Amino acid sequence: MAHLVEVEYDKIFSAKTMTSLKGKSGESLRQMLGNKSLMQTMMRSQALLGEIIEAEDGYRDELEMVAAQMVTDAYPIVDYANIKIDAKIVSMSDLDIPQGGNNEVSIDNIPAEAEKAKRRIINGITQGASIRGAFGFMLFKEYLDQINPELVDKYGEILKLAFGIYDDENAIAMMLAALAQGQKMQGGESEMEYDEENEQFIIKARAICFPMLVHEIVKGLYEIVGTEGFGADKAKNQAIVGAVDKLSNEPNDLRFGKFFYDAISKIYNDSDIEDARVRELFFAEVYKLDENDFFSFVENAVNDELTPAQLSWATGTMKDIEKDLKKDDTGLEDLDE
Amino acid sequence: MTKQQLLETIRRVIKQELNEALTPEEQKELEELEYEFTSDVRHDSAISPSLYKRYKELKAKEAKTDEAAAPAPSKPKEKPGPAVAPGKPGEKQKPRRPLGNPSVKPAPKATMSEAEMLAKIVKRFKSAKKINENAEQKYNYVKTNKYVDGKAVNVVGFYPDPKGTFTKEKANNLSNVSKFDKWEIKFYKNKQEAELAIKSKK
Repeated sequence: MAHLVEVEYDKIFSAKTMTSLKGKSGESLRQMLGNKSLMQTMMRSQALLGEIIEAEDGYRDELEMVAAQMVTDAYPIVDYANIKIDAKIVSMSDLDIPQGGNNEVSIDNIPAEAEKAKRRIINGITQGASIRGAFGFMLFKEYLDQINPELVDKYGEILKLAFGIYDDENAIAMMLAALAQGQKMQGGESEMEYDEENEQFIIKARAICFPMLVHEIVKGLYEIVGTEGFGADKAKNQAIVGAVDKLSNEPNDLRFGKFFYDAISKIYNDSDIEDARVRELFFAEVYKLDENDFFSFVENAVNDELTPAQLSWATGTMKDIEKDLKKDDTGLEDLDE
Repeated sequence: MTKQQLLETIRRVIKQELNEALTPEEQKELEELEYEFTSDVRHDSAISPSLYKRYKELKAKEAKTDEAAAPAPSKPKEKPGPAVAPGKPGEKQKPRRPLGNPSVKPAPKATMSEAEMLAKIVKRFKSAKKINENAEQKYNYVKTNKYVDGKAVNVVGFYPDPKGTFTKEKANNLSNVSKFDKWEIKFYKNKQEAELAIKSKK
């Protein structure tokens, strides 16, 4: 057995890319938190959370269904891939925050640094996708307004506060002062399961309010997409998970992952493809790239410097996916003939 | 929808677009010609070739109009699912782009509460001084060799644990550590503990 060491982003990416990522994070911090200090952020979060929980009281069952429906509507890949969503709004005490991966793995399964680094980036994209996806509650504004016309604004604010904090490098010192007050904020958790009997993936999401539940469901969806970065060797896969999927990695995954997600999503958004299922399936194809191609693709995408060959591969891959989806939808085998 | 049905639908739409249907005047003209040709009192000699040619044209156009008016095949569902495999009614055909790899179970991911984050930060701050002190310290190690399945395994124990910053690559770069087929690296609090553990592996 051996202890495995951490794979940090500054060891994965070039100094130039890290500077770019930190610049984006700084900009995000300004957008998400404005001029609020950490203390102000935490106090406002706590007050806001109380108001949201109170407003949602009596509507939780409905909101759970709306959250699942919202993600299904916004991500048609859920239907296509026959993914089941199990979503619940729970109290904070019902959340069983996991500790993440296991540090101990057999010497025979010590993952290579590149494999761990790839998993780390994929985890970042998963977190990034779930931050961006959480704001999709606006799709159901009309419905939410009927519960409480102030909810939508509050949802937007709590998400900005909850995620903006991960862009604050200087928050550390200020958080120390806040610790003494024992402040707690909302949380959530999600995981994916594979039902072998029904050959179906299940997203299991738990959160203490609606917008966080949406965030957790999207995270579960991208967790499923993320499994495409693994091979067929179960023991090896679990060794990588044990080495990388750690709670301690999540702050920086949340901080930088949204920019990885944005960069790859942009490639899809800039294409002339309208089928939204292509987006997640394209991510899956990126994840299947071997480590060297994967790092190069993600890094160049982040820097908006994809090579003509990378752009050509991306365009061709998305077109192929779109063609396959059309075949599935129509039952026509020879659409491309 | 089959490909044939799709093609027929497309043709039908094109025909309609081209306005191939009989006009009311043409319809009346056709009825008159039909009456003329089928009347008991008509004489064959009364049917001119030009009238007969015109009759054929109108009949052909009528046939096309009837075809175009036939009910269109049912539209595909708004969100069509995977097609049903032939011969297996009710069973869903696997999508061409299945998503997800069942060969792995990722660890559950939590959105940390700030309290947890704070606890981690405190821990980091408390250990920060120690890390700085260790920063200039050279890494110490003890090592031994063993053979597993005929392959040499280099067992290296580093101490003290410099917050897990030692990698196999870094260890490889140490000039006085041989490169073996396999590595087993562990971190220990101090030399004594490292030596004890390493010796027990011989």
